[in-house]
Amino acid sequence: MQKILIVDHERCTGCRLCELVCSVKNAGVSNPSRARIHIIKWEMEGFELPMVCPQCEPAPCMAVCPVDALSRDGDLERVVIDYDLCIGCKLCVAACPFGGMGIDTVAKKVIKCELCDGDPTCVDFCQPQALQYVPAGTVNLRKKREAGLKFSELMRRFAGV
Amino acid sequence: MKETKKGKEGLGKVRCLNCFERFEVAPRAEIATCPSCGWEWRISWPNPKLAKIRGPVWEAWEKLQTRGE
Amino acid sequence: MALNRKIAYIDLSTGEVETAPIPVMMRKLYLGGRGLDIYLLYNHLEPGVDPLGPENVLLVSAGLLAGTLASASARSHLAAKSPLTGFVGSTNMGGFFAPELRWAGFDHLVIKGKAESPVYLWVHDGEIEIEEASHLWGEDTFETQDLIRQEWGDPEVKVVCIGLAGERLVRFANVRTGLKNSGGRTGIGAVMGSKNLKAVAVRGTMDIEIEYPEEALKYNKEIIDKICSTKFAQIMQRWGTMFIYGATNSTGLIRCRNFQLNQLVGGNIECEHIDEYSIGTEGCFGCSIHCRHKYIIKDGPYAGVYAQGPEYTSQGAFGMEVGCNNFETILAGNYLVNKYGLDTLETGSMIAWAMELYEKGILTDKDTEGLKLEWGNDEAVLEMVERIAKRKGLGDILAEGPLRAIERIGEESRPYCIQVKGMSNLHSDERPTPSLALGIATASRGSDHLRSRPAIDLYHLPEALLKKIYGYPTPYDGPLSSDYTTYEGKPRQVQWHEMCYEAVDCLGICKFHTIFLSPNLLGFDEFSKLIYYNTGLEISPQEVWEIADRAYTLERLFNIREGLGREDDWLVDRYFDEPTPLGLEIARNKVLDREKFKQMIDEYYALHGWDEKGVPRPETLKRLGLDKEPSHML
Repeated sequence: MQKILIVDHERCTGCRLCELVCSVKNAGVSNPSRARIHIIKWEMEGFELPMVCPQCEPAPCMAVCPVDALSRDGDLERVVIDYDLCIGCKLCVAACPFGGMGIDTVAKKVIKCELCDGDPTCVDFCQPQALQYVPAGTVNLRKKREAGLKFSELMRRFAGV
Repeated sequence: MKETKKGKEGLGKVRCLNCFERFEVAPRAEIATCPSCGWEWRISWPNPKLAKIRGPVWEAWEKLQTRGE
Repeated sequence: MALNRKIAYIDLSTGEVETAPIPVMMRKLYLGGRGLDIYLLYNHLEPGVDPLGPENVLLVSAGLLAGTLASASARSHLAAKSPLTGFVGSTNMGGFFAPELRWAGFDHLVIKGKAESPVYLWVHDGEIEIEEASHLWGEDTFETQDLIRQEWGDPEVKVVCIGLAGERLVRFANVRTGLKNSGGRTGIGAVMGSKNLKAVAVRGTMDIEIEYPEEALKYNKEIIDKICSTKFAQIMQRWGTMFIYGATNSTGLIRCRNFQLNQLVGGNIECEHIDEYSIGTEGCFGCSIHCRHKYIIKDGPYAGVYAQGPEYTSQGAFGMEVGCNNFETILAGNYLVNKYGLDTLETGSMIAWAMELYEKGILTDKDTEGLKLEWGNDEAVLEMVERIAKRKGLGDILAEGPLRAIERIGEESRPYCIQVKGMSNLHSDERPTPSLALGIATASRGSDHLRSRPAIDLYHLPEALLKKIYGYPTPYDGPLSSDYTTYEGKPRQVQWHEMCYEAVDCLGICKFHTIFLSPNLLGFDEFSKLIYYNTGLEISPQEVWEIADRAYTLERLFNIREGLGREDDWLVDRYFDEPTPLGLEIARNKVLDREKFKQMIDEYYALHGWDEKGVPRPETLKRLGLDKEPSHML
């Protein structure tokens, strides 16, 4: 079944290990500015949110690419970049509503999460499981189950059920 | 969640701070008595599979403390 | 490669900045972080200078593996001559500063002189500028960081700064980054304040090249799995270092009411209480343990305040040591010391000491300006934090740290001050535990539990396991005992942990990832592999030990140069004369034995290759290549 990368921000501890392993995996170096994923933090409020390309469908980046360098890979349901076609115009960067399309200033090219070809390194390293790579069909029930667990916990504690 | 054999064995075990013997605590128990030395401990659970000594049962502690003196 | 980071020499008096590469040869001798810092301190500081004068040298550094695939590779290190002890000043902290410093191209900043007016350093992608900071002077440590980020319009800027305490030269002022991370000990914040240096801000986007990326990723995953599978890590993930209190208070190994009791009976300040205030946990860079809580205070004058922590140390400082049995006081105290930039440990200890002096009538209402410094007076404790930070009244005296405060208050106050080398002890009671006592007596930066504490000694581990741990990577076939109340083999344990913690402080890895609170965590083999995969340097476990030995011995040489003698490696009389009144049988009615303690120190010196006065022998210096220091290679 098709899998998707889901973000559970409540579990995120803001350690940025995902940024580190992403940049090592994809660029061979430690440099979060070249990573495809970023933890956006509101430090004074204690809120952190992992931001990564959600592989939109239809994808604005694909829609604006003047040379069709972006395409959908049906197997992994992801948007991939063909660097042979890409002319580096960065229209996709401007069009992306999430910042999922970025610029690697060292390699001088646009970059995005391509799900490490089906085995996302960030997910592998995320110990608190703020990042998960799961079959798309299970997402809804997963969330319901988690919410249910919290609910039952509260019921037990406060209502003595 | 995967349960390894080792994980199961260690499930809910704590080490008595008084006699250093390991003993098993019943799931979700909040108080446990060491079978070796009889010391009573309050227990807390960092996660449902892991027990930890929270502190002495203070009333019992005061009784035991004066017993040896 | 990952080693391609520079050193910068910054003269705040002249405004000159020079940068230079760090030769690989120096890495092989000292790695980085704390190791290279002590080399730089020994080489750049003139002996005998006033720690708060412009001649003091401040080092700001990142560990060799900071920002690499070495799990919690987040640690930065700061050093100077300590204004608290007059010996080596050294402090280490996590957060996100160290990796950012390295992405900005630097590993070590050597800061000299004194700026005419407040400044901060702006370090970014290979550049260093000295920026005006008058507008930041007086701001707390949270605001300061935020204002600097706003100035550059970049929320990713990482800042190390001081608060009011550092500005007012409180001798135990700390340095702070983020909401919680603090370089607490030895008063480095006061050194920054004395230089008119409010902050060091960094931002970098430069590659740190990983020598073997595939292998480093794989190995990092392996050690993270190993770390997270331990019981220790799972408890830390839930409750942070406060969990330690569960065992230590239960046994009677904590300090309560300065040094009068060794247990808080009926204590209501266990780690589990954080659940009522926590909104989640946060990790330092790359760390899967995420041991600090994000909490919101519910009631009282600080209701609604958002902060992070607290640690075991704050539990002591604002809990049992001052006789408070109120979890919210700990949360508020922790917030206040972080806001003002005070070492939580020293602050709590100084207040607890003043409370005992008040109880004994050595301090009176006149000294406290009417403040009732009575055990468990929560308001008075928090008020004293304010007074210390602002140097008001008695606070001004306590802000001078143990030894100078004794001089001001009078000799009759001395026996009650629980300190070594002029630095206060952790709020643990080491009378039942000779190994822990030896650690704090001999630690190079003054009484300290993070230099050498063999905490696993408390776990009653089987002798076979002890032999395995302590017989490697250098041989040891002396005695070892599972019984923490004995004196057997404890010097080796202290020496071993000294080397282990020195090594990780050089590497920039968190101590909680090593054999500190769990016997199943990283040791010298793992350090060696992490160095290799990330930097390509081939340094065997034995060589890592030797580097740690070299750096630690150089700290000793530094201290000796500043006047340290054997008598400074000693504890106050109360450890030997007053038996512990409470706790389990194993911890009750215990004192340390002077004669056996002396023997432990002899043995400890001998293990190090130091003579009976604690001075490294000529052959030791030769073996470690220290016979020509200062050598001025950097």
